[in-house]
Formats: sequence, structure tokens, C-alpha cells
Amino acid sequence: MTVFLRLYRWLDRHFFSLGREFRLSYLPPLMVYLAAGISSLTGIVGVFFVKEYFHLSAEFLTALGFWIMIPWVFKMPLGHLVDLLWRYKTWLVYLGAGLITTSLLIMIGLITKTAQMKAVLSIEAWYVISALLAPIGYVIQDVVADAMTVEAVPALDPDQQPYDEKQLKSMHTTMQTLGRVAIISGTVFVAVLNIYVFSGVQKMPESEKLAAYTFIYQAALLIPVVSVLGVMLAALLKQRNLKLLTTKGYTREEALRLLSPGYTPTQTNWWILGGSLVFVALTLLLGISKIPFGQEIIFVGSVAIVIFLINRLLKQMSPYARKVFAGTAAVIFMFRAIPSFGVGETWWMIDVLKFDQQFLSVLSLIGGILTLFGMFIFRRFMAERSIAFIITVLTIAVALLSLPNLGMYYGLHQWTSSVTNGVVDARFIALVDTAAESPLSQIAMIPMLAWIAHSAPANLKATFFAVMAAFANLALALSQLITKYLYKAFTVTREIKDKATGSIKVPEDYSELGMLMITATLIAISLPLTTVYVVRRLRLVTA
Amino acid sequence: MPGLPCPLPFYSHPDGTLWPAFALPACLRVFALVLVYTTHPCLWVATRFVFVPVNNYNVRIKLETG
Repeated sequence: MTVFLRLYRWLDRHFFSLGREFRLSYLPPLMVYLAAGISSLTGIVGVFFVKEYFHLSAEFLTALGFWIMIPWVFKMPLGHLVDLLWRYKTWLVYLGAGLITTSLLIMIGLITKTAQMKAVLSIEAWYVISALLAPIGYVIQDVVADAMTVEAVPALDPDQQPYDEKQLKSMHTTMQTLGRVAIISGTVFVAVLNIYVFSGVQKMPESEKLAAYTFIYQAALLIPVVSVLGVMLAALLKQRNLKLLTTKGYTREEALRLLSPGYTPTQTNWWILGGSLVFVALTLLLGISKIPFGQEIIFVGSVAIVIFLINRLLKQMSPYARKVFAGTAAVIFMFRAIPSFGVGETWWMIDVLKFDQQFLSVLSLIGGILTLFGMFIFRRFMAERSIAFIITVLTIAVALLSLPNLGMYYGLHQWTSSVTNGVVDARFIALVDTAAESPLSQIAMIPMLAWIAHSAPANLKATFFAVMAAFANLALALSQLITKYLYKAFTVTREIKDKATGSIKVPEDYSELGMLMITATLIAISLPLTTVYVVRRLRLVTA
Repeated sequence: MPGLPCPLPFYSHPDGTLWPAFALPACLRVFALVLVYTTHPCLWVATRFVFVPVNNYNVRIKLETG
């Protein structure tokens, strides 16, 4: 076989096949996800505008940051609400779009009609309203979109025969991969648009700058339009499918049952609703009160509540599905709970390796683009292998790819630089390492999402997604907690100078960073691999 | 891409092609070239314009938790 033929086959298997496997029914949730991806459009301009015109304190903005996060805590009760109101999902997306539009119009008003807006409410008040409305809108739309991804994968083939398990897993993996592609593509599009609008912003006169800010907010009005078009398309497709089936002789009720097999109207599950509201209250209460061990208490309390909710959901599943659930959830949780090298590594890169902000931006840009690429390359791998196998491979790959950074702490870049005439220096190693590592970043997420979509009960889709998102969030919280304890065990400090006198208040100390990195790597290898071993020993199964 | 800000030293071969300026076996040289030519468009964009990394809570939480 020639090299070109092999290359063509490889491209066909990983890229072109996606075109053949794409279904029109995938498009509506993808449009809502794309809108979420483009939502970052106002993130950058917001930061500049707020800094230059509002003169809000850093403390105020930090406090606001906490409140912006809160709508995401509501994802669980909202999820159940969406399941209860599933027939009116289109209206929920409209509601989300309305909230986002209002938030954007407030910002446009603040830029173009500052005096009139100030006459009604203070600028701070308007900004807080705008900053809170948008995430509420996005969360509502996101909860609906998650559940729409389940519905987008057909259970029956064109001859009304059920698809087999393998085909369903593959279709769900493709759907969830495309979901991630839509979100990340949205962010890449935004990055490019920002580059275009803000090139030379430092030299712009004030009026042009304001015009550029206004343009970004006006362009952002497209975000709610994209999501609304998505649900309108979903309604059109449903009507078309209903029509097709009724012309084949089915009654409207039969056709509806065929389009959503197993669907029965959702009954309010007070345990889920109440439990998730307790979760919200716990997070809010401990977030506001700064009691000692607040993070630990939130974590333990949240784990207890989420496990309770999962238990409630599992009651609706078969014993085998429960076994699969327990095995899969344990393996994914432990993989996502592995500690990171933390902020000390970035400090050390800036202070010792002399990486500047721009180079770190280059790394993040390359990371983003290659993450997209990685999702295509590994799509088959994710669809065809078990989650235990995927996590084992990822654990080993992530550990191996952390070695260059660890090596650089002990002077690897100095040695490679001396033997390669300065070519393979610290930046070269960081660049190659990022290029190799970033395609893996979403590989653990997609099989998990595909499995959630595949196993979600038909009338509890949004609830299932929301509870599992809370579960994934808890794994990240554990990761942060372990990292925090590592930083307690090893001393890593950055130099802090007194601004007035210039004297050093805290000296720089990276002497224990190496041991911290080694410990973090050892935990990162042992935690998931031990879990996979235990899951196998307990004869649990992973999806 | 001659003339770009570039971390690697190059020399122009008499035939007009651009090669990394260090002696390496052919296969490694090909690897280095592939690496350079695939990372350069990204580097070019990033160094030409001020690229502000996307730092938006909505997108980050969605990508990290699903």
C-alpha cells in the first residue's frame, strides 16, 4: 500500500467519516453549544471596559466572580425542572435567550447611553444585573441542550428497528464529540474576532475604542439568535419526522412513541428536587461564611448529597446498569481528582524559566487548537474501547508527559540546550510538551458524556446530566484540595516586595517544588490505576 | 516562512529551501521541519497580535464538568 493511500485511509477514518456519520438531528443541540462557546466574546471586552470606565475595586469584582458562579450550582434543580417542563423546552431556551439579550442590551446601554442609564440606577448596579443575568441564561440553555443531545441520537433505524449497543455507543460518542467541537470552535472564532477588532487598540482614540467595545456587544446579540434558531430547527425536524411516520400509516401517538421510545411524562421527584436545593444552600452558606475548613465541609457535604441523588436515580435502572454505573463513575472520578502541579509551576516558569505572558498565551492557543484536533483523532479510540482502558492509557500518557516539566526543574533544558546548540531550550520543550499533552484534555470527558447520554432514563435526561456534572465538579474540587494539601506539605513561595520601600517581604523559594511535582505525579499515577484495579477485583464493569 | 519571529535558527539552502541550522540525521530533520512548520502558523498569529486567552467562567465550567 502506498503512503498516500494509507494517509487517505487514516484521514478518512478520523475526519471524513465524521461527515458521513453526521445527522441533521445533531444540529439543534450543537447550535446551542456553539452559542455557549461564542459567549466568551464579551469576556475580554468586559474586562477592559470595566477596568477603564467603571473603576470597580478588585475586591468588588472578586465578590461578583463568586455570584456569577452560582447559577451553575443551580444546574441540578434546574435539570429536574427542565425534565418536568420538557414539552416546553423551546420556551426555556427562549427564556435563556431573553436573559442573555437583556444582559447584552444593558452593557450596550452603559457604553452608548451612560448618562441616561445612570439616571435610573448606579453603574455598579446595572453592571451587577448584567453580569448575573447572562450566566442564568446560559445555564438554562445548557441544561436543555444537554438533554437534547440524548434525543438527537435515534434509537431506531430507518426501518424502525432498534440500533445495537455498539452502534448507539458510537453515535453518542460522535454527538458528544461534536458538542465539544462546537463549544471549542466558538471560543476559537471569538479569539480570531477579538484579534481582528482589537488589533492596535492601544493606539485607538477614545471614540474608536468605545465603538469597538459597542461592536463586540452588538455582535454578541447573535449568541441568543443562534441558540433560538437551534431549537426552532429541532421543532421543525420533529414535525418532519412525525409527518413521515404518519404518511407511513402510524397514528400521531404511535409516531410520537417511536420518536422517543421509553418516554413517559416526568413525575416530580421531590427527593431529587429537595436534595439538589440542599446542595445549593450548602454551597451558598459555606461560600459566604468563611468558616475554617469550609472547602472540606462543602466537599464532604456535597459528595454525600450527590451520592444520595445518584442512588435515587439508580433505582430507575437495571442491576447490570447499576454495576456499570458504579464502575464507570469510580474510575472517572479518580482520574479527574488527580492533583495538578498548581500555581507554583506557573510562577516558577515565569520567574526561573523566564516565560512571559505572551509565551504562555502561545502555549494556551496551541493547546486550544490541538485539543480540537485530538478529539477527531481519538474519536474511534473513545467509541471502541472501554472507559477503564481509556483511563489507564490516559493515566500513563499524562504521567509520561509531565516528565519533561519535571525534568526541566532538574535542569533538563540546560543539558538539551548545550548538546543541540541552543535549539532545544526550555521554550522548545514546553512547546512540544504542550503540543503532545493538549489533545488528551477532553479525551476523558467525551466517553463519560457519551455514557451519561446513553444510560440516561428517557424522562430524566436533563436531571441525569446535571447530577453527573455536579459529580465531575466534585472530582475537580477534590483535585484542588489534594493540590492545596501538597502546597501545605511543601513550601513554594514567590518573591513579594513591599511596594513602598522595595524591600523583600517574602523571599522566592522553589527548592521544594521538585519534590512536590514528583509527589503529585506519583499520586496521579496511583490513584486512577488503583481504582481501575479495585473496580476489576470487585467485578464491576465500566462502559 | 522566512522573516518570522522564530525561536529556531535556520539557514537557506542554495536550492531555496529552509533548513534548521544544526546537523541531524535525515529522519530527525524531517521531524524538526514538520514540527516547525506546524507550530509556526500558531506562533505567527500569537506573536503578531496580542492574543488574550479565553478566560470565561461559563465556557470553562462547561468544558470541565460537562
